[in-house]
Amino acid sequence: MNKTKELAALTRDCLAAVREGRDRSHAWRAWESLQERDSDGNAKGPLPYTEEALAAWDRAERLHPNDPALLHHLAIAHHARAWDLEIAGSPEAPEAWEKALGYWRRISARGDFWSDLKAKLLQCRPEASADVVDSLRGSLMEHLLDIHVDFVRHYFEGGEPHRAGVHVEIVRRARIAPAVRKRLKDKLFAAMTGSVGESLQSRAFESALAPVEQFLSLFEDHLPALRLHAEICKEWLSGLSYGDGWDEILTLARRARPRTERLAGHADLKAHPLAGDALQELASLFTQRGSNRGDAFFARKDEMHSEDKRRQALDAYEFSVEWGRAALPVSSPGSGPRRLLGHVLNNQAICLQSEIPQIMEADVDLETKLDTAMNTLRRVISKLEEAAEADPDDEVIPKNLDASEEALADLEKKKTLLKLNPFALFLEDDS
Amino acid sequence: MNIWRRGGSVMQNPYERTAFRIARVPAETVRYKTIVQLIGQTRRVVRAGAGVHAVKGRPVTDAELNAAEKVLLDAETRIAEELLHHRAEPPPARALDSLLRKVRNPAGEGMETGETEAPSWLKSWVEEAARRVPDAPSSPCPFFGPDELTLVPPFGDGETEDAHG
Repeated sequence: MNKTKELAALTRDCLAAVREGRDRSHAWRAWESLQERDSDGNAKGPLPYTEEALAAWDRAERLHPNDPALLHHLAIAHHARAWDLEIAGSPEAPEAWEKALGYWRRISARGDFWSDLKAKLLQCRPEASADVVDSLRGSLMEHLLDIHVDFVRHYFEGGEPHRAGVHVEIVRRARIAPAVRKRLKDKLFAAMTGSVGESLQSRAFESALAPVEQFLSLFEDHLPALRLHAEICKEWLSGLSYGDGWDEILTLARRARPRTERLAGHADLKAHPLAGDALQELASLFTQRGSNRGDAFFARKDEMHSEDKRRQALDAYEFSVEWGRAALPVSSPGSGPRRLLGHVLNNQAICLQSEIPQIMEADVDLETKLDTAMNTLRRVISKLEEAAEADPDDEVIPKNLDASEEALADLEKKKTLLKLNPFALFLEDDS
Repeated sequence: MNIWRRGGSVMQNPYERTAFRIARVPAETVRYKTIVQLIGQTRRVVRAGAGVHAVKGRPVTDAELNAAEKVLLDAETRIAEELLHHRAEPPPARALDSLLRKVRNPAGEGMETGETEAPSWLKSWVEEAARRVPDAPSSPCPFFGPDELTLVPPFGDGETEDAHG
């Protein structure tokens, strides 16, 4: 090599060394600022972070955005800082957690970082299996998010659900594999609903239901949560009377309804028979309560002449029918819920039909009365047809259906006659 | 095992009292015998008097040291522990120092006889660059801490060659 080439090589080496020195100086400054020192100024070891170190690493990252060692420093420092902010109850904590998880996610993707760690493992113990490092890498994000599950449990147990919510959000927003997400959701569910059993034992239903609803507000299709919601509602409902507790039943039904609809339409429902059972039992109990209330009014024949009482009976039956329909997707033919629905629809139809004499006595023209009565009968027939479909073995329903169809035909005949006969007033007496 | 949950309470920052900090073992130390020696040194310090070895003002206990020892002497748990602990940064001017020696002393270390002597302008430039890169030469070496750590010989480049399993 001639002298000129040697000199050029030496100059290049110098340039490279200067560049490296300049670039590494930020990381070095950061490292220096981390040192905890004794009274003589001797370094005792690095702190997880200092503000000065974070600033220096930020500058270093701008020069070397993908340096794995630097990313590791940043992950440790930001994560440790987030932890301290969390412990201090700082509002900056959520953002700090997200930032730290971002660095860890980048490390997780850096093969060179994990190769270095494998090399270090083999330095420590040459016969060690590198699988250990692969396992560490594979579980990294799940382990990091497990921390937030712990915080959720901690804050729920400490009666700080709003702080728990912050960590639920962190898990919910995390960019992770579907399988890991499912495991974390299940862990989160267990953490958030850990106290439900105790609440149920003391019949504190509101306390039992609230965390489940909070969880469902974040993960609305979580089947175990939907099932638990139905089970708690059923327990609550079983202690409510259709008489004194009717308003409470209606309130509970409004809370239960959107969840049972989601449960009934859940793609995995068939694979989870216990969830189906929970839905069926709750829907049947609501159906029963509505049916009992309707029957209670319906049984008092004298009160059926009261418009108000009949309206209450019909409302109760309508409530009952809606819940009976909710149980259909999980009820087999001939099952109790289907027979109950048939019974309720039949009684609702009879209750509706009992309006017809009053309609015909109303102080309006005959054509209007006939139209109103026919419309009512059409509704009656529709109810009875649905009843027959729900409980095909019931012998009374078809007879009622035949009678209603005959009554409708009779009214239709009268309406035709009324149109043809200008002296229809004479017909009115016959009606 | 989840290293971030090892403390038992979420209200304890796991980065503060890592096994490396507790045992005063630099993360760069891989030789089994050296680790054992360092832990022994630290144990004597811990037993010498409360508060002599403290991390963020809180004295290290024997129980903490025992737990740290268990972590550090098992290569697998120790590697996991490294995720929690900063690795030491080498001084940035290390390469420059080496060059500086080379350009200052062409016939000496790092340069074969007959090699090109650096011209004076290059020497000046490298010297100036070395002066500007802040490598904090007055700072203690990060691989060692308090004086008692330096009593265990020998540390150095050769220690990884006879790593213990």
